[in-house]
Amino acid sequence: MLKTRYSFLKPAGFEDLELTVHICRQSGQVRIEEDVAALLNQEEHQKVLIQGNRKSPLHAVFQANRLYLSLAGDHFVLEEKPSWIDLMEDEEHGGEIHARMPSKVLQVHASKDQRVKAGELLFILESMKMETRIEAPFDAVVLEVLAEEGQMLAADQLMIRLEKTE
Amino acid sequence: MQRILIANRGEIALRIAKSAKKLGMWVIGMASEPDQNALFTESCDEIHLLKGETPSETYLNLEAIEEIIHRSRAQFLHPGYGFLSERTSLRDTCVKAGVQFIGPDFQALEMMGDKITSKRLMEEGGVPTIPGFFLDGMQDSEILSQAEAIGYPLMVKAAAGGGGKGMRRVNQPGELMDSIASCRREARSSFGDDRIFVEKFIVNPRHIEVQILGDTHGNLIALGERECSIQRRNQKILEECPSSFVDQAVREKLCEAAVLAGKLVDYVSAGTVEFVMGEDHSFYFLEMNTRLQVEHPVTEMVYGVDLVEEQIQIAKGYPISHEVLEAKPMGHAIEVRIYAEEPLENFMPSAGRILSLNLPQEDRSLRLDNGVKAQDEITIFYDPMLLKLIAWGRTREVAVSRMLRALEDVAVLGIETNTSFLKDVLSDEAFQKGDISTAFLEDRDILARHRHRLMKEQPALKAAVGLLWVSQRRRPDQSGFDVKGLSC
Repeated sequence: MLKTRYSFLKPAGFEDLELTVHICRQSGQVRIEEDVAALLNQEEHQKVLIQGNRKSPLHAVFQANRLYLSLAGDHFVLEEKPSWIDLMEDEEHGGEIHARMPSKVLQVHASKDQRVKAGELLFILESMKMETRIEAPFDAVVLEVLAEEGQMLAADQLMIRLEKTE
Repeated sequence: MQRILIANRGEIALRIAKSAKKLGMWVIGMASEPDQNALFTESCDEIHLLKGETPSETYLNLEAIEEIIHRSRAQFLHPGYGFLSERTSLRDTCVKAGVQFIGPDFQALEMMGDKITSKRLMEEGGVPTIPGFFLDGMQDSEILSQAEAIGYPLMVKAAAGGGGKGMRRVNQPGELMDSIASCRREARSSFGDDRIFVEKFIVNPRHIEVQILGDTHGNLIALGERECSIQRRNQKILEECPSSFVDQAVREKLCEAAVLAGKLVDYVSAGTVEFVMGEDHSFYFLEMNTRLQVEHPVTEMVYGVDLVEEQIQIAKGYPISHEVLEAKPMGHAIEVRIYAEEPLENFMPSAGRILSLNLPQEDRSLRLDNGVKAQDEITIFYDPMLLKLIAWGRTREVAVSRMLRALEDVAVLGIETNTSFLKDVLSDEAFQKGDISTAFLEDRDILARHRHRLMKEQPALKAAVGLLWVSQRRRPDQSGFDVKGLSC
């Protein structure tokens, strides 16, 4: 499961709301949480969101971390909350951590087969002259470390694979 | 080839160009600096630059327009709506330059340009007007007794007012003199003209107007009414033809009154006579617009006519075409105006760049009068209306559904528009029953319904955002997401 958080820039009055989207993998299909199962289809070069019997034309423009979106004529502007990494998590087994943006690996604190506790330091990354700590999202065993000290990571590059422990 | 100059911008310049081209004319446009690459310039055969940005430097700049008239060797000038369209000065400039102005004669422009003159003229000519009186040199006691004779509630208005400015409702005699005094102050500072009048206040009023068309051969006809009651900040946002509140008997009376109004000023070209209609179907003359109206397409859809084509032919000296004289209404048409504005912020205009634009496909039941394209910069200099959608159906119900579907396909990304808000107007139960008045948006609290509905869209929004995220970021070999079966 991957968690991504958005705040509303528009419509006016929605600024205090937050939209958290959980993206999971389940039997070969992408599902967006149980209650909002939906499909994205292309009809005549147009995106259409399908939920049950409802079909909504969907238009969107990503600009940096902003998402301008029109869903069946309703307009929203969302801003993705900044995050250094994407966690792709499988409910039962484990997950992967990917760099979200190009960054440099300053330190590596994890090694293969190591047992880590949730919150334990895995990496220190640097991007745009800022440093951040990447911590274990859950108790796990490290299956594989794919990032080395001093390495430049590309956006979306896989850094570590973890297996959940009880 | 006959040369026509369009002294306007945006969707209306485009719309006029369409009809002029249909008539085989050479289309000359004018564009301000911010409008140099606007969509409407593409529909013109030649374009002349108006230096500057603000309306007064450009589309209201009579000297610059006169210079373009000479430089372009135009033979006809269409003023569109707004800007100088109802000013006698533009017409004078045309006459001086030997250009045929597409619109009414000087007399009609002048008489209808002033609310007091036009009302007096209508009153004397037998067109129903709202009972009222002017305050010129009246004693307080006389004002109070005349007000009593009409009955409360009353409205105090500035003669030079407009757009909701300089107006006050008075519910009882005790408030009258104070309201008059404050209205006078506002009128003096806003319009430099403190003439005031008092008239009957119409409860649950509807704004109903009649399209008229006259030629230089003595024909003057009415092409039915338009229902324009749905307004925000005293500006129309949705118009219909016909009005579901008007039956054939009332329609005949309305049209008769409108034709009479036109005859009183020997009206030539397309014009609109605006009436206010009360709950009992009694109607009163409000004003006459001596130009093409923004909402003219609903009449065109229902009557199967091209009003701009008629205007041009009439200006050339031809009579109204046979088809238009014989035109019969069919079905129902609804127009919505898409404004760059934020309904949830008191309809504040929204400026910015259009990052992406999607509009529904035109067909027999849907017309698009558009003035913008992707990457356009919407500035604060001009009216924030971007485009109009006009839906036609055999019945009002069909037209409403058609419009709702069309609005779902409107996506103007990068700026805010009222598209979503219009969906809530059209979906409202009272609206669908035709139970409306000029206070409809407030009475039905459409803004609150709009906000509430958007709040409820969050699950759908989540789904959309999630799927867009996956479709944008997927790396088949890395992400671990199998997005087969999804084409994103």
